[in-house]
Amino acid sequence: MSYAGEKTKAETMLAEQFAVALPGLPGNDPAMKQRRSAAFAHILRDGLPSKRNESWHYTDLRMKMPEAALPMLALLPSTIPTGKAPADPCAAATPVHFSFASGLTLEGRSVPEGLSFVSIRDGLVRNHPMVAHLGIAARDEASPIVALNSAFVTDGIILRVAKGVRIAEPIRMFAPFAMEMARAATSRIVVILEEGAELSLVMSQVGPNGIAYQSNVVCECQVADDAKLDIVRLNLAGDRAQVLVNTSASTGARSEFNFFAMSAGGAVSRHEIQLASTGENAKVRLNGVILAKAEQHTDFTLEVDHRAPGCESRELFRSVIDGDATGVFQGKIMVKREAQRTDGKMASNAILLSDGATMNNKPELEIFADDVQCAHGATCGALDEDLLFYLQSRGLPKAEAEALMIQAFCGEAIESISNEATRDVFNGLVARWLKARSCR
Amino acid sequence: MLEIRNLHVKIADSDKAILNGLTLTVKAGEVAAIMGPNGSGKSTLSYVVSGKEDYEITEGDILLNGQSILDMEAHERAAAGLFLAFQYPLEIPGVATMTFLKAAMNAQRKSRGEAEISPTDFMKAVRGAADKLGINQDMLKRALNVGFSGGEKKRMEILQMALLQPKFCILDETDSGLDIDALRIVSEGVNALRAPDRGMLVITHYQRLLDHIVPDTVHVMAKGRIVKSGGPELAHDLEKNGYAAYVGEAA
Repeated sequence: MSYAGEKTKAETMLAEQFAVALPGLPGNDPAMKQRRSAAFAHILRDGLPSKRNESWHYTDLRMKMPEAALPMLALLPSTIPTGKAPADPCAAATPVHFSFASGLTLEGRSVPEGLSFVSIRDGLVRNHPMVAHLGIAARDEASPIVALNSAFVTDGIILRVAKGVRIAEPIRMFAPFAMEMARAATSRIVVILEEGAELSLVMSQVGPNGIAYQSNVVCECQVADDAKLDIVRLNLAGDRAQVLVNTSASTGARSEFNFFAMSAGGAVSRHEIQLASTGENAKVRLNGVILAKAEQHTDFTLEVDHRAPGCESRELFRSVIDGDATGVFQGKIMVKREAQRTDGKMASNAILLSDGATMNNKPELEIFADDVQCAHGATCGALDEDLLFYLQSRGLPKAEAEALMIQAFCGEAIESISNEATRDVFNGLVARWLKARSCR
Repeated sequence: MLEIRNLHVKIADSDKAILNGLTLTVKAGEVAAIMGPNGSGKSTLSYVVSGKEDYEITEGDILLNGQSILDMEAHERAAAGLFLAFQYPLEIPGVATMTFLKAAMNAQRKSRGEAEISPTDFMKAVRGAADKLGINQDMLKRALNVGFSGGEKKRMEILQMALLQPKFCILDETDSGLDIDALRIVSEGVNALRAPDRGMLVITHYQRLLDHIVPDTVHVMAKGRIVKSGGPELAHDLEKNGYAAYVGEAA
């Protein structure tokens, strides 16, 4: 789509910043510079996504992004005093393996055999062969988040699990924003699972309140035949942060992709999940929870593209919206003509806890095959008064009865996390959110 | 024990009156039965006593052990010793039955200023009560009432009653949806809770339940009032002659 309007301040800033930053961005290979420019050309041409883009209808980034924070290029030490640095709520689930402070520095712990990795920065600087995997599962033309990421990416990681290697212990990646300045951090995580490989990732993104930083994370996954990938992702960014995330994956034959995300942080958050079932009989599970309060705007947008026969997809998203917050769920299941025997079910349920709360629920099916089973459902409403009365009649005060119901409501999506310790962490995060709500 | 004085109730935000000067006293140790045709206000009475918010009390009072409970919220009434066994127990997806039972017991203890129940005592209490009602461990692990049969739901209500040890119990059509065997198990559970310091109000359409839970007093309700009171023989009389005479009397 061509964009002819007047540039917004943020768009102008981005263009200037990109021109200035380009020489200093990691990777001096001319082809890499060329790729960055080509990616940014999408933004120059189309501008930031706005209401006029159907997929961004409910999250008008042109309106919601008044300025572009200065991109971080160099390795900067944390400016947050030790002891005040944000901690990882997922620490209880599994030890940390990789830490990206402010989306830049990568500290890797010893990792299990069969898992190889290179940091994006090193990879770009040294022109490492694994860099060739950038932009395979996540394409610039598929999302402005990916295009921006490809233009500005400074760090992150490329991970590969060798054929047939099953890594039992979940690998945790911790990405705190550890600056006291509003900066833009752009990172990418590339996950390559070779045939029959298994990997479980726990990613958490946290940051300080009160700082209008901007974070862009793209996670692109290539899941080969018979491979199994579990991803659990937490967004607990600071209350003024802008969080743009794109998770893209292609799934091979008989592979499994289990994905869970909780979005509780950020002033404006958008998490896109774009999946392509390219091999037969793959199984995909996408689950998520939105916890939004005050003026938060939190968006989950899913596209599940069934391109091969016999695949199964299940999506369950639960949103709890309080205060004047807004939740967005868009879920599109596409079934191509050749994707016969697709079995897809998607549900998005939202609870509105206040008069000012808004939820935009938009499930869609686009089916071109004739032998499929697809269903979607979306609900939105207040807590059920009759259920509340039942609990109260057993002695639970109203606030406690509400908390129990909300905990259970989110718990049904959290249930999909296979690792028990990780599941406990996320149930605990809901409890913490509810406690903060009753204490306000 | 429970004293309802000239109670007038309408549905909140409407003019629809449901209870029209209902007066009823149930003493400690007494099991009172209320019988009445559909639409006579029996379920409304149980909700109003338990503290449901959808109703407006325009006149009258409800006292538990001499204290008015009208200003108390539902959970406070529960902590004060009131228990309602629901006609249609609600399904609560995602809330494990054990979690719910523990939360309820501890909430009531907390509002009475008592310490939380120890996990061992809790397990022991639940196991003991569940065995008597034929509730197996599998049911206790599932989400509260989700996918339970009608009989299982009613047994779960009585389990809660046994664990919470209320001072006054209201059983709202506990016999509905029960087969003969379930009716017997549920009635035995209720009878086991009969005690000199505990009152019960049993709401039912049919004499059948009262063969198992034999009441001390029987009251006929029609058009939002008690129109006749008597002993257990009154229930038999109703079974034979129906409510026609009383519906006429109230009008």
